[in-house]
Amino acid sequence: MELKQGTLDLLILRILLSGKRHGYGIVKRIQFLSNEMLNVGQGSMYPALHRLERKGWVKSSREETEKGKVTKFYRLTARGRKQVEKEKQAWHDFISVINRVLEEG
Amino acid sequence: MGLWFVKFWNALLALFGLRRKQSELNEEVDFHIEERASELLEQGYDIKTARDMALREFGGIETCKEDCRDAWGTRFIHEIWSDLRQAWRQINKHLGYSIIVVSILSLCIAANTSIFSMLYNAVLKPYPYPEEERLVELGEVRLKTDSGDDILRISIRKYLDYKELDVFENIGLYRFGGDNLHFGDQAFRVTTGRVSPSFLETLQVRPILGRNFIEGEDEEGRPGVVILSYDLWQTAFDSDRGVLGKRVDIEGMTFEIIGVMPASFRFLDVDVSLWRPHIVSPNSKTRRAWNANRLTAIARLKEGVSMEQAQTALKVSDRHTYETYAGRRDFIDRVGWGSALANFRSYNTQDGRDVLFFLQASVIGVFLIGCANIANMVFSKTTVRMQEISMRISLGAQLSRLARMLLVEGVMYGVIAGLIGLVLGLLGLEIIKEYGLYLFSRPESLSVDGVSLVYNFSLAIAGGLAIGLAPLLLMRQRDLAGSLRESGRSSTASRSLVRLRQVMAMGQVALTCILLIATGLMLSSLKKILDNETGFETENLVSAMLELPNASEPHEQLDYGERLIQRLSELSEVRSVALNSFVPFFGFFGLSSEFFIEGRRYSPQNRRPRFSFGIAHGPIFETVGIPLIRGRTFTEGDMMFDAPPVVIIDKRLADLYFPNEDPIGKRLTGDLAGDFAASEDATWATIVGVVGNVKTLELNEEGVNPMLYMNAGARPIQAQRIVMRVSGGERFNLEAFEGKVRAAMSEVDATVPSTEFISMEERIDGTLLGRRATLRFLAGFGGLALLLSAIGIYGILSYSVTLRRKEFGVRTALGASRHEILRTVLFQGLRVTGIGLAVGLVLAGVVTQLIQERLYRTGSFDFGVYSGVALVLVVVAFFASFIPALRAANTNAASALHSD
Repeated sequence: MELKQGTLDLLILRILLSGKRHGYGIVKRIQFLSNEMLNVGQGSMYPALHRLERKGWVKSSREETEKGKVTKFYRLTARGRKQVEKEKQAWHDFISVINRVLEEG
Repeated sequence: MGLWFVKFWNALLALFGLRRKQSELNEEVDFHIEERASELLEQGYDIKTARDMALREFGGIETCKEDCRDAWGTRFIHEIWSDLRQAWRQINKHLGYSIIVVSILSLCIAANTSIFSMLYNAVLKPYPYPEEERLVELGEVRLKTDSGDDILRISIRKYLDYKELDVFENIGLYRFGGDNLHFGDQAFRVTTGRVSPSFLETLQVRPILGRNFIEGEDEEGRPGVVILSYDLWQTAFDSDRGVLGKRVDIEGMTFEIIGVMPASFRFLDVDVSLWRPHIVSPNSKTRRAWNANRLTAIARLKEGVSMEQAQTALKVSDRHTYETYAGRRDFIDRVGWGSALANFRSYNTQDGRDVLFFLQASVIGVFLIGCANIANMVFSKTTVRMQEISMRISLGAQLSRLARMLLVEGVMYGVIAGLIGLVLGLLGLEIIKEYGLYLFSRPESLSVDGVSLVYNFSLAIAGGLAIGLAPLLLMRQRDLAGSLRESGRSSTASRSLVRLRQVMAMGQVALTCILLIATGLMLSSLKKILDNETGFETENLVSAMLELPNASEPHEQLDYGERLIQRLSELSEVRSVALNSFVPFFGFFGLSSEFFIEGRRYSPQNRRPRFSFGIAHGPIFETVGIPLIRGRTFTEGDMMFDAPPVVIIDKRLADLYFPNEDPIGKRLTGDLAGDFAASEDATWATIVGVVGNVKTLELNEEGVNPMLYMNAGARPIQAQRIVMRVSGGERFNLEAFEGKVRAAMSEVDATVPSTEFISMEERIDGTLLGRRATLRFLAGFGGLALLLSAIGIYGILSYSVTLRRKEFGVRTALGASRHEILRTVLFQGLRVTGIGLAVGLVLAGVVTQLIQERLYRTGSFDFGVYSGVALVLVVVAFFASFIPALRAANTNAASALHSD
């Protein structure tokens, strides 16, 4: 299943709510949670992360992984946390509107 | 615009972190792929397959990175960077063209930068005093005389009046003079600033060591105090911080050192070593002394007071004086003496300002001429490049992107030319220092500073934008899509371009014409100045100034002169030596006075004459070589102490005041009682001789006072010049000679210092330095303009010949002779020149009004100069047109018709 336009940001933010992760970790997490049903374009993960960082919703730092390699980890900022709530709400509203149209149309 | 700027700024800031971000991104992506690959490895794939799969799953790595850079907002920088690289490639690809464009532009910029630096430093740059725009020169001017003499002078009485006005925060008097300074066993001849105690406060400058003068220290009988310049403190006092309170001897009086000025302190570029109070006598404070205008004053306007308000206050003060003091009325009615003020900086930088502005205008003209040439070259090149540009557009390049690329290219040319221009401009400044110093008064501060730098690069960017915009103009004119199909030549649009270029060439010719005419007028003036007779023999004449201490007695002064002449005439190089308070081209020591000729009646309508005079000791006329016309010259007896006064007058005086009689034996006096009579106990001097006229300061002086010479025996003088006729010749060396003279002088009296020895020829040359410098600059710019215009005419003709190649081919085929075609092209070139010339000649008449004051016996419509310049331009244009004309005439009909 292809990811719908604009939902990647929400997923990333939601996943980071549970703690810091690196880019690949986020990809793995999305695949795991969706039972590998969602196909995240791995190459588009990074531009999305950088965009979120520029907006100030996540911040990054270079850290060591458990295996001793160095890469960038991302975590939510305070503003990012609020954003998750807002976007989640917006998503639910969106879904319920679409659903209503689908069922009553 | 604002948004664009913010974007650019953000992008630039991001640039600093860009490299780090880039490498972190690489690390991140590598990590991702390695993680995925090692997972796949664990699932049992071999290394190579695992890596390939990881890469495939990831998708386009470069696209990912590109998108990330987008997310950073730095794409703009990447594009600019690629534009710059593209521009650099273009510049290198057409290296010959680039070199010519950059050379022309950088030469024009260099000329502008150096002249502008000179103008800025000499005229426009603020003086380094706090709020210097509030400083004014204050004093009185003669309102009724039209002598052009608008020097502001002030008397002590008037100064006290001005101090009462509530428009000035402070007023400072100043006057420059010379002093003999003794400290321990050292003797110095120094320049002194005699000032009112409020002077430094007016400038808002304080000593770095010690204190300022205080009110009352300028009163007679107070202990003398002096503030040293930083230079004198360093050289004479070894920068001793304990110098305060020490005593020095100035003109035989004792002064206490109370302060040291900062090293940076300069006032009107006079090399002042000492500052001391100008002593005010009780007499000078009285109303009778209202007319004694011998001082100059600087004042600081109160905060918020305008020049107009100050001027009004001065008028009120003048009116008050006029009404309350009858003794002044006659004087004011006669010369119209009135108070005035002027901005301090513009008042003190007016010398040579007109010339500097004219030179600045000239180099801007040269810059425009150069830009026209460059535009021409750009047009020609763009025509050739049109196909490449059309190709890019048809392959999908955005027009805006293309325009940006061309602009970046132009600006790059500009910046390169700006940098080279800056270096050449600095060299130009060295040349100016060599030749141009005398054009203005602040040479030592001559440098390229911030403002000149901004000017330099503004021109560079302007030139660059012109280079970049010119092709855009072309692109707008042409059907871009059509260009691909067409051959890119000979369209009608190119014809209208030819017209534009012809107008530019006419402009070039016109500007060149103006510059050459200005040069011609200056040259003609200089020639006429040099034609003037000096009135004496200028070769092998050497002079220096010497000044005896103020306190010396008349007989001491005479005795010193006698012994000095005796000793100096023993030197083998000296043919003849004399002392005089006046030496031609070195001027007077302020000696000019009103005289009373015996037996004449004077009245308010027939005022007694004013003569300049020199006090002579020794054979002055023989030494200087002034011819005797009647009577005799001075004898040894005239030089004895208390000898009867005799005068020798010049021919001008004899012609003016003794037109039909023999002046020999007539008597005159300077001792006056009242306005119209000699005093009863007046000393009468007998006229014993008439000598030729000499120039006093400049070759082109006019209307100078008649001159008389008096014998030192009757009236010894303290300040004099030594003048010596020397053997000269190849072996004569001025410096070595000066050493010998100084040794001889210290034998006579070691305490009397003298100034540098200068030969008369050097001195006369010195009076012409400013003119010569101006002429050199103008000639240089005129020559450059002429060259650029010739190239311009050549450029447009060869372009038009290329465009009309088919036409010429057809005409040749139809039987036109080579002659006819040659004539067609030559006519085209001469028409452009003719129109440009006509415009230039008319404008020159207007523009040269600006240097009218600098012209000597040459009208600003001098026929010889105008026709000469016209001839030069026509001849040059003829040769510039000849080569393209010849090429047109040699058009081979067959090949021309087959081309394209």
